[in-house]
Amino acid sequence: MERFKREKIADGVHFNAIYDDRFKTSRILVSMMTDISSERCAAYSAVAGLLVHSCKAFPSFLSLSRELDRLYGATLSGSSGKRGDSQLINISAHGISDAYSIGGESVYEELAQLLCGALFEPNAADGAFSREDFLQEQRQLIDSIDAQFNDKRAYARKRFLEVMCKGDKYGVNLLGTKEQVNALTPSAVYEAYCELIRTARVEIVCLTSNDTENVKRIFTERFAGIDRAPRTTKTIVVPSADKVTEHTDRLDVVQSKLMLGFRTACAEPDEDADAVKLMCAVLGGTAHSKLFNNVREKLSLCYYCVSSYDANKGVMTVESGVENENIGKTKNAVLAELEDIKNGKVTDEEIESAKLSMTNSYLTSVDSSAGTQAWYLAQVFKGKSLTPQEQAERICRVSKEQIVEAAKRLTLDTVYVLTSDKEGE
Amino acid sequence: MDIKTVSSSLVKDSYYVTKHPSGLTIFVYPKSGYKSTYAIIGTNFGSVNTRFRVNGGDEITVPDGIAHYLEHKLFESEDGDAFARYAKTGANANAYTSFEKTCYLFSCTDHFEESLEILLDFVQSPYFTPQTVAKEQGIIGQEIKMYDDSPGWRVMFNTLVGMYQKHPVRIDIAGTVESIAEITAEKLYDCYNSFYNLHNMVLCVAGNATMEQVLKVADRMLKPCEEQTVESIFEDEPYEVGQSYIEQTFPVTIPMFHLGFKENVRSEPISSAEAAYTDILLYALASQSSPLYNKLLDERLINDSFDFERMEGPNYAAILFGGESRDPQRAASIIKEAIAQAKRDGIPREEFERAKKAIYGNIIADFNSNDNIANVIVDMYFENRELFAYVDAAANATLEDVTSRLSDILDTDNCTLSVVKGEDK
Repeated sequence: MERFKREKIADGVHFNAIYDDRFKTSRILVSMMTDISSERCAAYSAVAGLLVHSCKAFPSFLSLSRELDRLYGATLSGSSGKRGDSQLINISAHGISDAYSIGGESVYEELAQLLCGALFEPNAADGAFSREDFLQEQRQLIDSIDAQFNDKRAYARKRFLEVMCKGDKYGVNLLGTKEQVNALTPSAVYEAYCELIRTARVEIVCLTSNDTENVKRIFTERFAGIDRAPRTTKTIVVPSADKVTEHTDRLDVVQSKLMLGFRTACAEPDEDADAVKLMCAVLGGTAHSKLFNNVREKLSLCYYCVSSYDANKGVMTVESGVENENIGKTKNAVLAELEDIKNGKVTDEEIESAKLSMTNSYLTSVDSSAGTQAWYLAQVFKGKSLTPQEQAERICRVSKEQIVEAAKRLTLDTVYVLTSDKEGE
Repeated sequence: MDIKTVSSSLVKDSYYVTKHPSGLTIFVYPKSGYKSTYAIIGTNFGSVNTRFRVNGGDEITVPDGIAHYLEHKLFESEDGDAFARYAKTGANANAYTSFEKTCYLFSCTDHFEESLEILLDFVQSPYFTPQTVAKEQGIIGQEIKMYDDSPGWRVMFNTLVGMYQKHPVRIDIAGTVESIAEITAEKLYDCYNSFYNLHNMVLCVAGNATMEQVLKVADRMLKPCEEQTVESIFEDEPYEVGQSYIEQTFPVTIPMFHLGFKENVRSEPISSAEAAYTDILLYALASQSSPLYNKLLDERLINDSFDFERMEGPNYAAILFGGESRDPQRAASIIKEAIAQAKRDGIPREEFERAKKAIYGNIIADFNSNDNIANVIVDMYFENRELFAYVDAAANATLEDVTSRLSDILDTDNCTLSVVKGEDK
């Protein structure tokens, strides 16, 4: 069984407790949301790493890792990601529930203390992170930027976004550029950290079968010592594309990658976002979608051809990996399927199966502890408190007409190709 | 029909196992409070089984990549494809082929019995024609090319190519565009009739289901099978690796490496206890809290992509370390030094205790997830291991148990370093 309780513990800081006794572990997540800034994102990404690689109590990666081993191989992890035009800096802890410790000792509260220490007492002095830690983090950030180029499907996605959302916060690579990372200093990153703790909107999500009051108190006391000045964030939805941007990058790849980007004219919390979600699933979100059945199975053009919708930004993407000579053919095939939806050529079976499939994935997602935590975090950011069941019911109420309308509102914004073909298409 | 209950006081769970009269072994692992159910059926037929003999008959040789090709084609039956049938139940279905097995799976929150019926039906209803076989060439061709663009996949496979001189584990699971061109409907039937015998298969269901529910469907759907012996034929593989160094140039900006240690072939897979001891040993040796990991980090030779795993299948076993590195040679030599030191001086007791506690916690955390549980049960079934015996062995391991593993594995004179790097400028 599960229970959800949300409380404000400081200005712009909420503690969200989810009691759930199905899982054998506890999870505590601190999510800090701030506007994406191309100047500051690299520093924030560095903060996400530095906070979980050492802290005042365990001032080296080795000593902190050993402490986590002592807590039954618990993990402390930091990440940086996008939510619309906002950057989320997440610091989280995951470890076994007290019922499973061999000696009956409490792991969960110690882990909460450790997470709090990592967040509020970093390994820093005189307004700067430890130089040794900083250099390690800086090097790993440069490695991560290089690694984005290594995997060609991931690289195509990154380049596509840079092309489609050029000049838009959403198109910013959160790791920053190598120049930006090289220009960071231990004090500049510390300053970014202080800024974050002071100004970010903070959501703490604690998922456990143990008591949450103590953990809430620990965080409340810590945040009481911060002079909070939270800033609001905002995402700009570009309603439609006024022209199609075509961009080709050439690299020594075996398979060409094709990406199509659409403006949907609709993003959450707009109620119409549900219709876009369903339209996207009908088009290419499942193994019985139009793209799967026609572009893959009938035309044998590709192994994958999938559509996805970022409801926070109002952008829909279709991606596929194809032979160089089939790029144009695949693009036309995808657009033809979309045209069919616009013309109402959607069967009841297609709609019904997409609804069933989405219902299934909503309900399945909360059978994992990470999925449950992510579900409630997304809800609080949206300012809602829908259960997966309620969200599924909303999807099931979308009509065929609404799907057709959602498809009609789409405008093709960007066609991106990564290919080795010297001649172009 | 005898149903055996297997319980663990550490995990605080139980599962049930039975041999169905049809020949199929069935596991059911109920998870209280879960809404979803995950079901997986596997056959002991993977990419390495390209030469075999049934009931002592003539040797049959089939093209590389045929197990994977069969996986794709089994979804089609005479009256349509399984994805279209799953579309009516909402289940999320998939399949995969590894070196030593092929598995078909789904997860669902509703209509479990109908979905299980579909699964059991299509794996027993092969339908291959020259037309349906031809259609798949383009799709799988693109799947092969997608992996060709993944440096992580290439660096792993090149390690196997370097380590193994004869064993088919050195060949890509999907085969090559040339080898799959030789696949015919007849050859697919040869494989199907040899390996898709219920005595050679296992079904595991985890989550919101009971053995009674599963048996009700099984009784209706499973067609009794005559037991037969399938013997896979492998050329004698020398103990020595074929190449100690293998390199591929690739458009990457940060090189990637794998260091693979080839093991002596044993007649039986390692036991549940040996598997637990190996996991503790590898954790003590190379996890984030190990002296080795921290030395590599301090010398700027690895980042958090560094990882390790043991792989095992018919007539092969190896341990691989790898990740991104600016200097793979230097990283490899430090890893080998650390192994040599452990073999010389043993593992310090405190490192062993830490590793044991961490592995125990990690194992407990894995029991949160239906798919994890079911996948591991299937893996272990084919390796003749048992899940809870593995947990008990990990919880009760002694330093001597763990160090005893060192004599059989990680021969520093018998390893392959595989590197994928950009062109020298």
